[in-house]
Amino acid sequence: MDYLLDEVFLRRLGRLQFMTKGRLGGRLSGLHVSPRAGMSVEFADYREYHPGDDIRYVDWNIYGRLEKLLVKSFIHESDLPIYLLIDVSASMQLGTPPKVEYAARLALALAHLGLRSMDRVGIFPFAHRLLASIPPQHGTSHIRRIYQALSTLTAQDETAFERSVMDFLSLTRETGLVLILSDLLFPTGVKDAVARLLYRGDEVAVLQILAPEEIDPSGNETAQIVDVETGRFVTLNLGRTTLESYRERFEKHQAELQSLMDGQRIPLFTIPTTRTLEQVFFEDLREGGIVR
Amino acid sequence: MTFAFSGALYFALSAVVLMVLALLRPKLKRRNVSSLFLWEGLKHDARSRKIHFRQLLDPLLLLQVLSVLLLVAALATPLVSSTRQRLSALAIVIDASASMQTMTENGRTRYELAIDAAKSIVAQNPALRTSVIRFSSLATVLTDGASSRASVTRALDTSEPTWNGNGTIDDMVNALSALGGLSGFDRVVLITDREVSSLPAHVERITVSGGENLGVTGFSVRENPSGQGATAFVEVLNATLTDHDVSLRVSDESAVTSVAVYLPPETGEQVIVPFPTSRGTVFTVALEAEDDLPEDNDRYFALDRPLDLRVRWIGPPNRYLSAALGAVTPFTLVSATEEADITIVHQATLPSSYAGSVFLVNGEVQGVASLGDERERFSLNAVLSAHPLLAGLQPADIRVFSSPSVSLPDDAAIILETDGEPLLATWQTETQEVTLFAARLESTNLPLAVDLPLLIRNVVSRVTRLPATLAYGWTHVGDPVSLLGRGSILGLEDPDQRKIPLSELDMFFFPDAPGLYTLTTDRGVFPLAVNVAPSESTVDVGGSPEAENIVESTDRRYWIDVWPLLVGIVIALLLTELVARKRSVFRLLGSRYT
Repeated sequence: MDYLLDEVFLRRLGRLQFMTKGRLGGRLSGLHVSPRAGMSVEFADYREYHPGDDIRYVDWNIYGRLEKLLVKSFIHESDLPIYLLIDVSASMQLGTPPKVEYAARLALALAHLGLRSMDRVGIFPFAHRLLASIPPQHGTSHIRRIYQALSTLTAQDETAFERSVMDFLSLTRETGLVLILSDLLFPTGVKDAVARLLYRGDEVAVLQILAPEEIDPSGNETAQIVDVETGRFVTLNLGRTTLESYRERFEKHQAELQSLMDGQRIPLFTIPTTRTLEQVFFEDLREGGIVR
Repeated sequence: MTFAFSGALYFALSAVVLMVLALLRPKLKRRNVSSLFLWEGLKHDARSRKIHFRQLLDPLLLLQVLSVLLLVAALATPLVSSTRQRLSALAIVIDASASMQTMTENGRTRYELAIDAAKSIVAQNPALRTSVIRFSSLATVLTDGASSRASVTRALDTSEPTWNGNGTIDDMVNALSALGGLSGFDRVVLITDREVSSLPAHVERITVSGGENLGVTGFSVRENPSGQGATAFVEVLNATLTDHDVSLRVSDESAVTSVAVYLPPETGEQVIVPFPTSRGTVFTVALEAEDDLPEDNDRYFALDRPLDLRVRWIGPPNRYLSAALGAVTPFTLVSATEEADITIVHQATLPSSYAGSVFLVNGEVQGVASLGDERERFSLNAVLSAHPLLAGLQPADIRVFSSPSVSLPDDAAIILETDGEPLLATWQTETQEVTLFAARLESTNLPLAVDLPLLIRNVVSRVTRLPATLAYGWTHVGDPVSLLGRGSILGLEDPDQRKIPLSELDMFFFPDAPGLYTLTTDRGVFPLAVNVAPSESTVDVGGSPEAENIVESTDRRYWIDVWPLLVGIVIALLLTELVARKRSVFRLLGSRYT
């Protein structure tokens, strides 16, 4: 797999950075607003002085006027932990290019963007459960490790999304920006999984990666429709009626997914593998408020 | 419908093989999807299932199977019967064998009834090209297909039956082949008085019957082993449905013996008549009875006695050679002034100008073949082992103790050699046909071996036809009679003493009537007995006297070859399939239903 990204694209990508709607807790200084007040140039609020406070932040002008010791607090700009949850179940091998390959390239670009923004980026592939992961770290040197991990991703096994999310939550302590890269073509488990993420305080975005033939299948033949993850199959004649029925069913599934995400204020991006990364970042993610 | 080659239908099993191969072929395309939940709800789509079933029954496969079945049916050559007459060429084959001369109850012979039936057919089909064949052991084309109706009728009116025996169906097919073959006729009608098995599929048979017959079906005479007198053997048949007391009169030219015989219905009887003092060569038997085919009541037999071989002997006598010659054939030694069939030169020299067939035994031809010093010999080699002079001999059994050196003409064929020296050789000049055995007989083991008379037989039969042994077979009217072996032919007369024209080159003649023929040669006068074939006496299809005499025993059906139609359909089907595959017509049809 060749996950090398175009230099021009990388240069353009450098102008973007992640946006978070809420304040997420990072441990290190970064470019994101932290809920913890701290030292920065941006004033946040006043509070009463408590012993132990740095007397450099006592507002002496206020004390002169009101004879109260008030301490100025500033907005703490923290780094943002970015968790890339990548679906590597067997269904991700479908498509041209395979969805897993597209997801890996997309993840690499996201990681690149995060690390350039002084954020920590971690890779969490999952299938029937969470697989070998790379914990979030910062620094551009971390990109090499991420690259190696992404280049060895192989799509296999069934999907158990909720269980994988539970694994993820038990493995990570910090809240962060959780980017889910998956085809989300499983009937159940999505709602509970994202609910668990939101409950912990993570900010979630879903990048649904689909092959074009999954969105708009074609064909006029009798075929065995085989689930690549379970091996189960149905035999169908693919004709106009059948395919129209499929499209209706698919659109219904997407609508339900969109409704679920809207209800949780989770941005959902449906990305066909035919879409370029430039289009994804500079159109889809920017318009969706994930990056700016 | 029937099939000319029904065995070809076994090839229909190939259609089963085709279907099995088609079923073994992976038919369903596999299509991988991420999850089945979007597809599972569709599997009960009735219209989809309909198309799915339709695809299982691949129309192209059905076309192929149908093509194979039609091709197999075409191979089996199907014939469809039709009662409609769409004919252009008609062949009428009329049995003209002797039995057709049987008089029927209405005063007409079976042959005349056959002619009436033929005329009726011609009248029903006035526009057809009609060929008429008179058919017996000899087939004669009376009219070919180009003849007009008037000429066909005239030919039928003037045609006559024969005394010949009956021909086979193969003979009939061969006769038709001269007119373009059996398939060249839309309708072939055989009019006959006998049951015919294995008649070709589209040949109709019209049977004529009627009349009663008694006849002599066997007559043979043998010389008594004692050399005195002869014995006649007679077989007589009652082919009627009533008893008959008949009288047989057997004659040997000088004496007549009468025998009374009782014949139950449909039975035969054998009678032996001795002629203890007979020296005759011509015998006759006459059945005195009233029946409807009298020509088989008189039978003839001629003893074909062998002629002596005329031998001119030059040189000292040799009893081994004489004995071997006598074992092969009766012979008579003739003088130098008499005509000889063969000249035997034993240990003597023949002038080169001598004409005739010569057998040299340790002899020479002046200036042509000479013998040198005699030497001891140790081996024998068959140079031409397949030569007719070695027929029946075993060269390995011949021992030569000594033989002379031999000088032969360049064109001599050396058949046997001993130690490289010729032992048996033959050559031919304009006046001589010479066979040389170089060694003295006493210097070989031939005097004690069977190979010497065999060698003599081969030499004699090469230069002259050996006289026939006593022949007991009959010669039938219509069959070829050999004239060979009785000397130079001077004349041949029929039973009514009318001369039959012959050329010197004629080796056979075909008698057209029963009786005693007379062949005259330079060696004497020879009677030739010719009879109606005995098979003609037994022909009766069982029609009672009151029954209708013309029985159409085969349906008047017209067989039409269907295989060209089937092959045409197969070609059309295959072309349709080709077009369908190219244009994906069936795929388009399939999408219409989805």
